[in-house]
Amino acid sequence: MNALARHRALSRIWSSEPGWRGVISTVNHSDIGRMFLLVATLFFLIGGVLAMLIRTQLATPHSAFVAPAIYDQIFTMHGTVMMFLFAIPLFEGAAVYLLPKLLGTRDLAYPRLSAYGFWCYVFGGLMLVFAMLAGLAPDSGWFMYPPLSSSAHSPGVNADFWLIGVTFVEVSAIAAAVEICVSILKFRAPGMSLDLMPIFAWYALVTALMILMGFPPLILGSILLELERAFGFPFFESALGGSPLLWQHLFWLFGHPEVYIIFLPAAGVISTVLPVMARTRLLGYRWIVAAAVALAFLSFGLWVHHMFATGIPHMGLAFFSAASTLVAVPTGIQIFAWLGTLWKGQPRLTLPMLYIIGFFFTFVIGGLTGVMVAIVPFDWQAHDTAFVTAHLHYVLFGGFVFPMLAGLYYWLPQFTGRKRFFRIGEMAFWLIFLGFNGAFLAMHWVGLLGQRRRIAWYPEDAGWTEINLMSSISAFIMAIGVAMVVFDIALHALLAIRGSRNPWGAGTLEWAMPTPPAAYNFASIPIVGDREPLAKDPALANKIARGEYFLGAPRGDLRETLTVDAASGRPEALVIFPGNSTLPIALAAATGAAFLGALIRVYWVIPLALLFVVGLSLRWGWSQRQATHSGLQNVGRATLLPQAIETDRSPGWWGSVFLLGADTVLYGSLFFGYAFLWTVGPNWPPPQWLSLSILELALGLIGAAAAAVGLQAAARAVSRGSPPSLGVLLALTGVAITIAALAMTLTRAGQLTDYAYGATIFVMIAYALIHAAIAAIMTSSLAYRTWRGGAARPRTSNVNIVRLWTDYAAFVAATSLIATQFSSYLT
Amino acid sequence: MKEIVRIVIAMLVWLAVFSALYGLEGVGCAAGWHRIPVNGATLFQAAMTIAFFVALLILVAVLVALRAPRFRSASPFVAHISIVLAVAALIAGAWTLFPALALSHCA
Repeated sequence: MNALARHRALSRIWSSEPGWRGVISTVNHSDIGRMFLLVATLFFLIGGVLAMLIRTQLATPHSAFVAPAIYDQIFTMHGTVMMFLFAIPLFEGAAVYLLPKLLGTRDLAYPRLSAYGFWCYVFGGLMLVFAMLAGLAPDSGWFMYPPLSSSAHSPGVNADFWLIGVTFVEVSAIAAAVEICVSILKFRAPGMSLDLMPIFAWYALVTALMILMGFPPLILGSILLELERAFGFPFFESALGGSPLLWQHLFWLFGHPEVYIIFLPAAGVISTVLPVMARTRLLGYRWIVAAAVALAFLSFGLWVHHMFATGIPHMGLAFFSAASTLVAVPTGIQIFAWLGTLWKGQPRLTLPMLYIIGFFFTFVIGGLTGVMVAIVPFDWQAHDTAFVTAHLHYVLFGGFVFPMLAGLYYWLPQFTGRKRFFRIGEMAFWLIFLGFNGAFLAMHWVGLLGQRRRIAWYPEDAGWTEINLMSSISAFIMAIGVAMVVFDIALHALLAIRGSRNPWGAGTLEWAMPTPPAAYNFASIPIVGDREPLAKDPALANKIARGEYFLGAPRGDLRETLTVDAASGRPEALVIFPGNSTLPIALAAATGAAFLGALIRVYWVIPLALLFVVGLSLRWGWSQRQATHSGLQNVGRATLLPQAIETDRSPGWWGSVFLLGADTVLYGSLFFGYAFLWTVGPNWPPPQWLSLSILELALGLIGAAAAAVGLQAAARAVSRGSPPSLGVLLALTGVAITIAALAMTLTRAGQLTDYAYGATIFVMIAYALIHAAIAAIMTSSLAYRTWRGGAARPRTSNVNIVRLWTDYAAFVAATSLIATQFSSYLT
Repeated sequence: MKEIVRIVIAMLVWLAVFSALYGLEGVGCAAGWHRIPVNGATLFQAAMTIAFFVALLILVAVLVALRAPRFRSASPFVAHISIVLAVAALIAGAWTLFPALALSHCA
């Protein structure tokens, strides 16, 4: 088969359907990545318009432009849109589009999950846009502090739109994070060991792990606050044993790492683009990886620095102040490594490089003001002033938008296959750079003079008028610059001439393919022996196209790729991906219907929608494709590999591990909340404790143990080639007993609206009950497969995945029952 | 996966001991340990001081383990990163938890 015939055959197999049906049924990572990037950019423009409305209001004192109630909605939506609907999805889009190309594979680990995440993002985002257009947008600030956001002070549905819409969007972020982790660890080109991974992949891996650790506390907080608003569960009400500070802890457990979740991918872009622009290799690759990992963990020890003004004891303040200053060290290591790379190379002043220089200038200023606000006495002075607004914009705009614009112009020829012709981008850079600094340097100044954040008006005699006017004019100059970037990109996409395949002379694999990229990425999956394989072997692209590497011979209509050993990059298994499908959008719509039911408080919709979710999920799992023949498969180069679905640890197993990791963080956050209310919350202990029931406890523990043991026996049976009937039956019985025990405890949780204790017990047991129900559904599916037998028989991978979920459900049931049943003995 | 665990373990342990000491501070203050005298100091000060040294000891143990042939990665890349991060975790432990010695009160 020659290169052209191979291209045609692979294009037929991997392409999306034509027309609009292609948009809703595509599962190809390039399509999904482009769609993510496009929608995120639209939200950036919406957030930008909101920012201009804010600056219009603040341009003059006592402005009559908008009333305070509308102003509240505008600044809340500006923060919400930029954080949740622009920054994170832009990273997701970039990762979804780029990672398989950088890693030398054909798609991400779960193509349908990419599509599902994208549609959840779109539907969640539309909810918030609708709220804004209907004048019902959230208005309590992007951090939604209770009691301001509680039903007593925010009685409409505005806050509900935030809690439910943002949580829906977070489903998308969690899905993308699981996908990114598994893709980077398992879906790489053969030979690409951990030390040969492109630096962007390291940053994406660290960021995805942070999302899995950082988002669950906010998801939990949002659920608790919505329960309080909808049903009166008093988690955040001091008079009834709750505490508004609990929300702040849960929010900032997410909120501070979020800053680094936004910065780290941008740092990945810098680490990728800067060496190419400097015509050299990245200096200190190992130190940069270590610094990124350190930064990720340190960022989880900083959350209280947003709460310095809440009256926390001095020792607690000192812990978090020390951690906040320490975070400058790994950041500094990265900056010096980049400067060193520039020093040893021969930099060229291209447009991506201009944006990188803009990044250095603004981000270093943002970092230094960050150290200033990490010092408690200074923070007490600057807290809630425009100084903090200016600081966070220097960090986020400087640390994210500038690098992403550098990345946009760097990868533009890869996206479009065209050569940059128009020079509007350079002019746009200067407008953005000067406008940004004019707007936000001034904001530092007016903040230090005492101007508060989030207040629509300021007095004429405060001496802030000229500074605010200058800030507003500069902001509009910046906006013109952003508009020119959009114009430049549109002109480029429509009118620019065809360019060469690797215009920058880069060494990474995304340039070893035709541009714009074909749907299958690589005609054959290359073998990698260098961090910059294309630099080492300039003929690599031709060899790939000629099918000289793995999977160079397309089979039927199968979408095939390889998994590798996570550490060494040794080929491990053959993966057969599902084809185009409307299941993801249908499942996202069903998920959205459940969220919508909660939002409009038509609660019967929720179980109905969840029924659809379960049905579609089962169909999803059932329709997993596999080759006609089982056993070892020829993947080319005289290599035989098993199918991933027939291995002990299939991609589904890996995904379950990461998803359960996030789930564990959510459960841990719930325990943290329980302990926090117990030790720090006012008005504790409660008037009445849950009494110990030996029956419930014994039933729950026995059921959990039986479920775990049953699945273990089932796994052993399948690995021996026997039907796992007995083990599955034991597991089903165990899960049923556990559900009964949990349900009995749930009914005794007491008056849920009277006191935070009862409400907390209810949520803990309900959490365990939901997981037991998931285990029951999965075990029932296994039982059905066992009963059907033949081609439907359970494979090792099926049993191992169900076992993971059932073991987790057993663990949660046991610990929740112990923690709640013995609570009266812990006083 | 073991290699990823080697890379993240030290900073994960730092995060755990950091959270544990912050939690201990909350429990101690809520339980009134700062009002219970122990050998010229308070129970709170004694608990925080002991916890500080235990935390450092744990971080030292992680560093030693990651250098030991039994747990050290065969990959020079992973070995280097895991040890750098273990040293970083130890420094981070000493720096961020030092207030446990200097400010052992509940004000």
